[in-house]
Amino acid sequence: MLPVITCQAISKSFVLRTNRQYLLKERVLALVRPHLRESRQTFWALQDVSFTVEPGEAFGVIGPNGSGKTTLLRIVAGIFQPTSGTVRAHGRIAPLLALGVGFHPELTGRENIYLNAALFGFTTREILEVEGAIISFSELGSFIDVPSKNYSTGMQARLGFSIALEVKPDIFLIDEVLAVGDEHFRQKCLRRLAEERLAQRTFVITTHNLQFVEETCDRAALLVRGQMVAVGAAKEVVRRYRKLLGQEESGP
Amino acid sequence: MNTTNGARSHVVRRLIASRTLVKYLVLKEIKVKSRGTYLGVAWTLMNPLLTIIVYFVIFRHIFRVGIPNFLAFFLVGFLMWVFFSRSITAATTCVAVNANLVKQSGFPLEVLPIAAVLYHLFHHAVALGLALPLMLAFWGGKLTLNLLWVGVVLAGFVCFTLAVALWFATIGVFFRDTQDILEVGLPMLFWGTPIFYSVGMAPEFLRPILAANPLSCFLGAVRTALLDGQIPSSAQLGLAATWVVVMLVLGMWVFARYRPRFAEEL
Repeated sequence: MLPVITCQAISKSFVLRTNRQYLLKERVLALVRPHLRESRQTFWALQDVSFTVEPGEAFGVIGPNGSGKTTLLRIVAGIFQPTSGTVRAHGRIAPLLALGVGFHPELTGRENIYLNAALFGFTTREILEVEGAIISFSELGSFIDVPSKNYSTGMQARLGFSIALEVKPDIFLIDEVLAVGDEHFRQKCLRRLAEERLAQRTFVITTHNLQFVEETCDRAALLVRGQMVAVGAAKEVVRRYRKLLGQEESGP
Repeated sequence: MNTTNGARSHVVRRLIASRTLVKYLVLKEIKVKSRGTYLGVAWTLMNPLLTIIVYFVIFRHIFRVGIPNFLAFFLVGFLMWVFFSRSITAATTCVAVNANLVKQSGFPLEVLPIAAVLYHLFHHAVALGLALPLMLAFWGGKLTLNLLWVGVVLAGFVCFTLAVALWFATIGVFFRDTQDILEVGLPMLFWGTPIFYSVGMAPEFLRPILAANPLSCFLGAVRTALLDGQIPSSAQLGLAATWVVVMLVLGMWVFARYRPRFAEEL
């Protein structure tokens, strides 16, 4: 079967700027005052990263903080363009990069459902079909018609997750978001994810929960400082990462 | 959504697919702006209405501008101006204001300036809908078939506004002081646009400058059709059409060119 996600030799550089010139005024001033000029430094967030993800697979991305995990998901989601390399993703993507951030605080939960489902590319009729399921999965009850600025973090996360589940994407990109919500909701989500995988939906998950990767993911990739150190069977990659962490702790 | 690097050629198809998103973005603006205010959306109509009364009194009764049917002459131009300037101001910040959406999912970002323009179009369609019958009945508007040209020119004007909005949406992402520049620039453009006066009233040496203002030809064409009941001159229409096409092509190009960097700049 054709892979749903193909990343080929992806590199991504960011320009780190000190004295950043956000203002046009500053740019113009810098022409006559050289010491005001911004200094630039290139930072490679990802270097030569290649992998494929098969349909129905759960693919874990692990690595220390700042190793490029979120950048990688953003590139797969099409939010960032890679500096070099190619990404191909077949099917609709639901990026869950930070639950609830797509919510407007002044809008009610229900109004945010409409806006977010439209972001995923839904038409009004499609939204109406899933609205009930979203509200019931989120367990928000009558809070659904309250402005979301009054929601707790957990409530926002529940609603965000429920929307992503019900818009039925082919690919879920999940960035460390299973950590939020109480144990009851977390278990419910995990059960649901297992069902979705049976329906041939694909998951790319970044997390620091190594046990979760071992138990849930088929394959995994280990990123360290933007480089892909290992990719393969989840248990194997987690073992590599644990060894690496052990080395660092006992190292000089 | 297929995330391929050659997605640029599908802009039109993606926009058609995003019409629901545009609808909910406009609805979001309407709800957010009116929530917690006593008069709601009415404020956005009250503001120009009060301004119109003040300007009318000053220019009609103090400066004594002698243009026939001055109220309709100035009202139609003023409404077009308010639509233009508010749309551009909103477009400048539309990407930054929706940073949470931009950083969260990969949707066609063109919908943001489009929604910003449509939000103001909604208000001005209401305002014009109220003003037009009054102009025709009492203030010297001519009810002829050529009134259809008002619709045609206004449609072109919306496209022109959208084109300029795409420019400012792009510039606004990279330079945070674009708003400050607009605060100075828009009033200058306001007085440089024949809203309270006609180009013919200006001295000879100023006319080329006024004619170079793209807003002049749109205002002129609408007034010809509405107040004279005539077909706008081919010079007016040709100039307006050229502005629409050139600015739209350039606006779409500049937006598409820099769009991939928006999420990183926020």
